[in-house]
Amino acid sequence: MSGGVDATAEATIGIASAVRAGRCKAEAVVERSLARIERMDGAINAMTAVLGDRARSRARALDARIARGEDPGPLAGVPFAVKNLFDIEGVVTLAGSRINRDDPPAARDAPSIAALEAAGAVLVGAAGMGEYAYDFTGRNAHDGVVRNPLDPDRLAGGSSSGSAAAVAAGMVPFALGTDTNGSIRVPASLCGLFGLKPTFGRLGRDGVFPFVESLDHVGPLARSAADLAVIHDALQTAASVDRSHSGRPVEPVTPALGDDTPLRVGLAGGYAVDRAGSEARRAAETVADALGAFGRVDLDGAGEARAAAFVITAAAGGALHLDRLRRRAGDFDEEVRGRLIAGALVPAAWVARAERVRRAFAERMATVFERVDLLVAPATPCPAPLIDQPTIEVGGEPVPVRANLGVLTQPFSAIGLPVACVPVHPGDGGMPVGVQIVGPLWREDLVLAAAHRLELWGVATVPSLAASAAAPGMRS
Amino acid sequence: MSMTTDLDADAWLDASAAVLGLTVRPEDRDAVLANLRILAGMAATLETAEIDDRSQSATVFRP
Repeated sequence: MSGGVDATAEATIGIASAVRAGRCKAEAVVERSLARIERMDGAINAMTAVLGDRARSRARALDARIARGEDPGPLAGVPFAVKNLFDIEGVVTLAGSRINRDDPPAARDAPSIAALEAAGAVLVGAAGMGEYAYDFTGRNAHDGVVRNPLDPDRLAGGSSSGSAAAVAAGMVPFALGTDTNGSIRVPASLCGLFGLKPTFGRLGRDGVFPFVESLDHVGPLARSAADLAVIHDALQTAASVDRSHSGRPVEPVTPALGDDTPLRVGLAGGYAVDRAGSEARRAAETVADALGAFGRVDLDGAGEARAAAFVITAAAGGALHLDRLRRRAGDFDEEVRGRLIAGALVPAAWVARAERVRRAFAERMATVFERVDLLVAPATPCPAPLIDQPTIEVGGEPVPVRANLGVLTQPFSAIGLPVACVPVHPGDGGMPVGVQIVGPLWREDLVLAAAHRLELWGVATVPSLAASAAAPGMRS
Repeated sequence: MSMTTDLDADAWLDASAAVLGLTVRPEDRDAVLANLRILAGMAATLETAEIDDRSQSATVFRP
């Protein structure tokens, strides 16, 4: 495993298995990750900080533990990156901004980083993102655009843009992102990865720079559904200082991956069909057919729920950043500034109504999940747009890219449902597009089991790095 | 007139920004106005939702 890249060397479980079995050293795995970042990131721009000394030190300590016969954990030696709104000890938490560069370095790691490292993973860097997470594109005026490793002329998606690009480029086998309205699922879709947005309240968010308290989720992006499961299990805690944490006991999902219990699957219709282009619709239909979907399920109220999430997000973001908008408006990213200022001016009556509309949609969807185990829906209206493309087509109308790539993800995060995003390739060599597997509250086991089946059947896949080496961004 | 028809976004911006002590620079004004109009469209969508006086909010305070 010291030479070229093979399939097991790219993926989280394969690496951990090799390190745990003593077939390779954690230090060698970390060196390979750091070397790939060094070689590729000039073209991709995924990373904003590379932590070589820290990563090497921790990898050596891990190798020493293995040499002593200690259990190194289920993620032994697996390098990972985090979106740069996670606190990393000694590193300034940028949150994609220029303004936060004036903050002192974080005093300690976010608990989610500590949990992953306790499981044996090794943090190698911080990844770029859209400013203050208010973004679906990966464009950033301060750090430059994050390019899609599958085609560097195209968007990586956001706001967890660097996290997705780092995984898609093979710099790290997995990364952490956050998802307020789709910021894990959109870049997973555009970069052809698996991504998990857990149930709201499942994972604590302490040590993570906030955006919208009632919508923010932490979750992983990776190269397989099984990898997502192992990472998700390592992240779960029964308690957190985050008041939005549910306090539920840890409910491991990895044991359920092999469960082949028949599932009642519905294909989201109506809203989801109207706002998806032909490629996204085909991908969702392919997934639904593979899972034996019985038919279409209309998402009554999804448009209203999306509007609710849009208003709540704008108002919360504007309020969070109001003082910075007063003092340092010129230091914001031009593409974000106008959205945040407008959000600060939203009438309270709209926000209050939005919260009631959101609850009504949650109750309506709870009745849907009495009839189905899972829903299938496109993740984005289209595959990755070009970087300088101003609009995409949604419902037959050209609409701004930045605010609308998440039009299909927002209704589900608005009500906190768990969603796995799976990558579907068109078969003609074109760009992949993601499909959402949506489950009822607290059933990450179901969405990941379905994603795992799709992977085993070859319906949703991340091609090996060797197989995708012909793509311009993947040449190294 | 509902809140979201015949929208005077300029008046909205000027009045509410003044209340908040927020100075909107001339070069930012068009972007803010464009976003206010989008938000007004979202609010109009919210107006169509079927909720009543007894509909509960998604925000629940648990002490």
